[in-house]
Amino acid sequence: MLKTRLIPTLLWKDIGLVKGVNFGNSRRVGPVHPAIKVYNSRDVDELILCDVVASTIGYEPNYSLIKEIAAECFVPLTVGGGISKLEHIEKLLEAGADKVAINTSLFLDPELMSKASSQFGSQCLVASIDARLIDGGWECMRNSGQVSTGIAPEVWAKELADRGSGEILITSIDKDGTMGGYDLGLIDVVCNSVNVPVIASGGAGNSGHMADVLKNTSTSAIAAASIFHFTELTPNGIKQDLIKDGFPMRVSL
Amino acid sequence: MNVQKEIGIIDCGISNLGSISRAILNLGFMPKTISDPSELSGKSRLIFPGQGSFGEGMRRIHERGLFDALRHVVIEKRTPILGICLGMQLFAEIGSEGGVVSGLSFLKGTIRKFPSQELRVPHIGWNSVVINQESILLKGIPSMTDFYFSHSYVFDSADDSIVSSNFEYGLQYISSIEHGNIFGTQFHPEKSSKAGRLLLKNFCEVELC
Repeated sequence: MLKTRLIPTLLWKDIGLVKGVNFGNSRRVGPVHPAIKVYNSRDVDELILCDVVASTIGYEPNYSLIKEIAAECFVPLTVGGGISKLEHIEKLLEAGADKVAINTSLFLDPELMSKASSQFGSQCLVASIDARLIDGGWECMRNSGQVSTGIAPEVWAKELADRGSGEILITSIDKDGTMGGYDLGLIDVVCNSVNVPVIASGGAGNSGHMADVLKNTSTSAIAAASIFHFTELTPNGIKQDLIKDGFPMRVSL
Repeated sequence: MNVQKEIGIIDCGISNLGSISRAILNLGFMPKTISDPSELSGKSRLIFPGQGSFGEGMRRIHERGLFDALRHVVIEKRTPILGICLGMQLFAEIGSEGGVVSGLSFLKGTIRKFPSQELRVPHIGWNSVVINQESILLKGIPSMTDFYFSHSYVFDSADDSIVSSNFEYGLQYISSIEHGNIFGTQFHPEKSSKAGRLLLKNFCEVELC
């Protein structure tokens, strides 16, 4: 039976890891290498590492950093931030990323997803979508939540899946960092709009929140960040809770 | 360097060679990238990792002149080979991804897309495999162990006797095969934690009668 993945998300900015609230007020939460080592030794299902400022400042992914990280990471690794060309994807995969997450540049060049899927295959492409509630409707935001796009997340998710994205990572900006629970409505509309796996992100504060999103939506995976930076909870502890609730989780060896 | 310790990793420019090479090094073997037929000679074990589409994979095998060379070392010289994901799928006769394309034809079978409309495709994540016969590759690994999968197409074997394990995703599909010197996994052992490591070790140490 396919298990529900629990995916720690690491956000990178300038020199180390950060975590904020509603995509703002980011706090430094430590260097990246020890974090990767800990998650690797805890045998997590998968990891996501995103550079949160690369696309806005306009620099390419940091390939040498990814190479160093991949050398100590034996779990599937998704890397995002600053990807705007096919060449960037190729270099990241070479550096040791298993999948890439693309967000901002797809609004400017949606064809990038079509070209990437025919060259590299859907299985290594994650379309990352950040959305917030504006006047009663969800809207996609680009450049780390700073720029409106006028596009509804369910419409955008479907377009990117049709263009060959293998997964959709949907993050609620309103819930991000609040540890008050996932945006069930947002996750649900996105899940219903596509036939590719969805990763729910933004708002996880305890295993009950994760159970809620798994009960109320058809998400394939649950991502979380603050919960691992700011509480004593561990991925394995959360998985044990979810197994007790009857969800199919992988028991780490 | 002990030649027995060298593991040839076939590079068609369609996969993340970094992961598999690191995993092999970690086991105490020496990965050697092969992108040209001349580099195939003298390798006692071969691994064919792969991602992406069947059509593109075969195009690159032909482009690099590897088709006849691979058939020679695998079919005639019986060099042990492990195909991973698309690598295993390319061992089939026919693929349907990127048009109907002939494969390496090491094994009788075809590659087809997941038929289900109800389940999400690609099939991505950790799924348990049911071991259904004694296997060199899966030695020491309990049935129902989770492995990491990431694919949209599946291997349909014409010969049930080569199937060493299955996984379930709506229906039952092949997760690993074993036929003489030819081994394959639909999942990614290099990304499958301790069980994946043991499987790769089993392959690197395989002794054929």
